Amino acid sequence: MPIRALETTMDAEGAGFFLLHLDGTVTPSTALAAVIRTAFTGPAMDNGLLSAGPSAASAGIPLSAFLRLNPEQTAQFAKWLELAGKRHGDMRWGKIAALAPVQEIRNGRGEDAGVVRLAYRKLTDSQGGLSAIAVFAMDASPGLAMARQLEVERQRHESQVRDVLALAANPPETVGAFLEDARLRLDGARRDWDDYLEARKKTDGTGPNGRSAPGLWQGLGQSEDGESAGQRLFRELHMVKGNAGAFGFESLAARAQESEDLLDALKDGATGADHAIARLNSSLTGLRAQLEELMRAMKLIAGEGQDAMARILKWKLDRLVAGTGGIDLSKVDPALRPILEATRKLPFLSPAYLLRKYRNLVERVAHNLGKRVHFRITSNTGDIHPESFSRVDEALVHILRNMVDHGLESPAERQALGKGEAEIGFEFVAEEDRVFLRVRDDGRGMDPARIADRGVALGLISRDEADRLDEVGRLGLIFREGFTTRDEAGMVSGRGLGLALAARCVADRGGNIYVYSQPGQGAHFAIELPHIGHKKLY
Amino acid sequence: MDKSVVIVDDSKFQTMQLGRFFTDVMGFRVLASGENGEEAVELYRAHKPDLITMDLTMPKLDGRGALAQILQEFPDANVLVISALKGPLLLDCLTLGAKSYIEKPLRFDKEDFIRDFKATIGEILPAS
Repeated sequence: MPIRALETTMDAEGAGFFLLHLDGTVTPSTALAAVIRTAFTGPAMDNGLLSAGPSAASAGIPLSAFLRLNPEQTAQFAKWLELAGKRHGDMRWGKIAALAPVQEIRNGRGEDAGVVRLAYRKLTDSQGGLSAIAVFAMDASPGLAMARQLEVERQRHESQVRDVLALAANPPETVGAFLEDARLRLDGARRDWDDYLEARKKTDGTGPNGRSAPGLWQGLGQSEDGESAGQRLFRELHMVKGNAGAFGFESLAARAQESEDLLDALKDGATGADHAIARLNSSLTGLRAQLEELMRAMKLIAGEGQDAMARILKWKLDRLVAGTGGIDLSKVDPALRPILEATRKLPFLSPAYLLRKYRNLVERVAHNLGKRVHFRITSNTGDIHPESFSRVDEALVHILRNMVDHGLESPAERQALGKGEAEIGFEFVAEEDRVFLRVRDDGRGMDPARIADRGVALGLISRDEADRLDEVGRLGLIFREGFTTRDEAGMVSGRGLGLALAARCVADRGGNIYVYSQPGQGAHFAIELPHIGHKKLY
Repeated sequence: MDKSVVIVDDSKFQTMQLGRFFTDVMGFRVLASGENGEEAVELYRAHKPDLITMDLTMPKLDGRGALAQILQEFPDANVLVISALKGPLLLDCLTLGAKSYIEKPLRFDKEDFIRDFKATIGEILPAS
């Protein structure tokens, strides 16, 4: 089993693995420790099953110790291994794997819990017998967080699509009257709400422990018929909700319902008042914004008829299914698909997602090489459409690996040079039609003259040609296939193919890649790409 | 000759769904259906079907007990566990000799589910 090669491959996908032998012992891989470390940031595992990852590969660790299994789980695993050995020939592996007693390992509770998902694959010998089971451990936390975010986004877009359809389904005058009525009601509600906030500020302050003061609520803005501002606010929201529902404006109705619920909670003084007030405030603002969007769409439809209608719908639907292109899933290990799918479905990739993904990669690679590096996003503007991003992701993986392996000095060297902890900075700017990405390190840098000499020595370029190149041109030689500064292929970045592959990825996608560096000053890679998939409304 | 099946599930609705699937999609003859473990054993003795599907949580004798009894009398019986329970009990049933399992809920509206169901039956009863 070429464990080393597998480990390097798994690195790129944020996964580690260990071998589970049929006798119930385990051979861990070094990559595993890094996965666990990045998935379980926070304090020591309080309820985790996984023991701290091993630092060196050593065979013969009992699974029960490795996964901190209790006696019952140990017995279950023994039973499962026996079943796997007996039935793997006549039962599909997926069904057997699904029965493995531990499918995921959690640390912490709720949405912030670190989650490592285990995927069991069988390894067979030349006679088709089961020889061992490879257990892949993937940090599922970002995928899960994104799946949740995606679901919220999806529901929102879906109900907005229904809203647009509702615009078409009702006679324009009626819809117009409803929208105008809703606007007046919401404006009135807003005034009452502002009065309430004002009165609250005067009486009990806005400290963190401020009370919701139901009495104040009741007494506020008493009208002639004895209705309070709170009651009036509630009634208006309720009317907007009812009417929106009747017309089929689902997202509007849902938002009004949300405001109503928040108001209810506030009235009862049930929730933390400040929190409830902030939420209700943004809910009311959102409600109003949504109404305005509908009114704009309405005007557009009234003016341009079916074409505009189709255009708005198309845009909404695009948002709904955004991000379905990119990686060819059929070529990816089935165990990784669910997570990749979850990440692909998210319409736009946020800086937080990029930070997490690349930080994990950089830290894992550095850990394997005994280096330390701090990875951060130094600046960013805008979100990147995944269609564009999938095109540059591979290039970034190669560049980052190369930086950690070749660019950064060892901790001892850095100390001798008086340099602090190594840092890799990532910067991106997403504009309407272009994406710019820059990665820089503060490592040993490159000397253009020496790069040129090396290029000549490797036969990639003649002396004459080398002499005619300027600094940027000489440094650009590192993107040539076959260029390497090491005599022996490094374990992490391989044989000088990484940067050549990165350059090819970028070129294939109609982009440009540059490198700039000075000895001792670190290196700086810049990629420029067309921003594909980015669309504008209207 | 069409293959035969006996369906055992304490939910009448699920028995009906399974029956329809086996008849319409798989072309099986549904010989009988039962709603508890005791009936499962009796029906197996009476019909000796090619396949018996077994729910696990049922009144009187549960699915695991029925499965053990059937396999004791008929070691070659093809028992397919259909249950929402996954974990030690299911592992136990397979160790005892159940041929495979299908996870509830029954999603006959999903292509993936039907594909898995067909493949599972194909593994237990290869087309002759």
